[in-house]
Amino acid sequence: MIEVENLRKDYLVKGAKEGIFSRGKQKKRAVSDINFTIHPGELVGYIGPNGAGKSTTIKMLTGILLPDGGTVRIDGLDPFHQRKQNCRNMGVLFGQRSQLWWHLRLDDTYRLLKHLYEIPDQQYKARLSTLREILELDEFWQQPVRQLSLGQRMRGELAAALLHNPSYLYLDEPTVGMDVLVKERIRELLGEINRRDGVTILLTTHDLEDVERLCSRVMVINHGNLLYDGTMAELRRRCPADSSVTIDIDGEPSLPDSLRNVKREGNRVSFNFSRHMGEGELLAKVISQNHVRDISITEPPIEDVVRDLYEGGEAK
Amino acid sequence: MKLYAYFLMAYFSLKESLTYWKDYISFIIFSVFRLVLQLCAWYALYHSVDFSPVMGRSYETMITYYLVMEIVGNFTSANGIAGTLEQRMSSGEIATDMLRPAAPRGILIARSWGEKLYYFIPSVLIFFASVVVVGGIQLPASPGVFTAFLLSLCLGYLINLTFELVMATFAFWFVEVNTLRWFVSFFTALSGTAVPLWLFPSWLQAVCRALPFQAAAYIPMQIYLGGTSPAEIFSAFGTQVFWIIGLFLLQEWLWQRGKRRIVVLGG
Repeated sequence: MIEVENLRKDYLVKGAKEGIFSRGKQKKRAVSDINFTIHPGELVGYIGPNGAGKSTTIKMLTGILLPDGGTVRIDGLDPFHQRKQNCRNMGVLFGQRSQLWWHLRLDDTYRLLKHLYEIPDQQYKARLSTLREILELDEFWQQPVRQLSLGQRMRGELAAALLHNPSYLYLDEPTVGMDVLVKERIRELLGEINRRDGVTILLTTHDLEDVERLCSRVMVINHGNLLYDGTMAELRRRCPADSSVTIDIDGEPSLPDSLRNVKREGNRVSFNFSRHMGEGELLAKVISQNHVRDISITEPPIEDVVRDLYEGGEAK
Repeated sequence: MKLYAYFLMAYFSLKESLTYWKDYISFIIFSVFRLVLQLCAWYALYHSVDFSPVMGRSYETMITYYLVMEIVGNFTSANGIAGTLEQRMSSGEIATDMLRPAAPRGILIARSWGEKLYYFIPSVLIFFASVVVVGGIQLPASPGVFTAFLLSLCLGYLINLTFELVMATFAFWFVEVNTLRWFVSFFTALSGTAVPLWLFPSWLQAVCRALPFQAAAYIPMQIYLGGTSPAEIFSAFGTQVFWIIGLFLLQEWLWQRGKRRIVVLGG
């Protein structure tokens, strides 16, 4: 279980240079008193705009950075002060940074990890052959890492992060820079790892589709503040962004005046609709007053939902 | 076994270094060139006038000094650890080291062994080739002296290693250690690798004795050349061990404070 209480991290940012000597330093709060708990087996998406504090949180969870306040406990361990012990049970993947040996082949890195994590021979062989199979590493097994494509390398990185069979997997933008097909493949793999081995996954990303497809729970952070923690559906419900409704009507439509953004095209009528503003009754009225042949409701794109949340956070 | 992991890291870092084999060849050519220049200079000096009274040592001793120093300097050097840490801090790669159930300093040292071997192997070859070319060098007076020389060589490495780790910790406070490196390269002139310290005026020799640098390379060299009594050899070991313990404690103290300040740059 990951328990985070009042977690805080400040950075010193050099101010503008004024004269030769005075160079003021400003404190910038990267993570501001956040709280959350992640239970074993959860797959949690952690989203926020650039510089929101996502990576900083991950770095504190993995024991790289020392928090300036609050506590992190992972199965009761303090990741910074009990770093080595905590490391044994976690796998980490930074999308923008490689942990493979650049000029060597994949199996060289894996062999080193075997010894670093002191994985017994049999267990190592079994684990490696499983990972080779699900991540389809065989096609580029013999090539030096520098010659791999981004998607291939990322599969190699995933295997490196999972080789010692960790219970926790932290992914910092694992799909960054990938094309649609490769993204899809990585998502499938993450889902499979989560289901198969019950690995707890915390995933930061800018690609909201990652979160929609994978995560049962999502946390939104901006300016170091945790703005939302809950299900994706609840997030949609909370946000004022509009859904759009399209109905096909037999005969002359009779529409209430308060409908917004109405467009007519023959028998097809479309208008905007927001659950948030209590327009449910309005929709019911439209349906009862007309002979509706067909109806479709398009949810707002999740980007809109999140943009609203980010902007709301900024205003705070 | 965990220790084996560190050997693997050393081996991999050697293997990775060798990918840049063109660099390697120019490094070897440069090393040979430097050595030939040094030898030529001393040859010219000694053979134009009788230089021995001025220098206090014979031409043969001087040649022996430079050739053996080729090995001693390379063996005891721990250069690059501070630079590697600095580079890994500024690129953010330090993060990947901290994700392992291993000591970050252990990883740094293991990687440095790979690079060390990369430079040490040609220096051994150059040494033997040069010995053949100049027609032999002075040998240690006895197997006992030779053993003491080897032991002192290892202690010398530990001095440079602990000193380099002290330097490395500065990367936590100043992300740029380059300025510091210039500062230190000035001190390497006082280590005896470039010029034998007996050529220095006595006040400068006194300064050198107060610093750790000469204890790393110059002390083993003196033991090799002979003329040191067993008592002097033991006191030389004492000096070396003193520096190792002092520098070790200092780097440990600095490291424990510095690691709290780690910032991982680049996202």
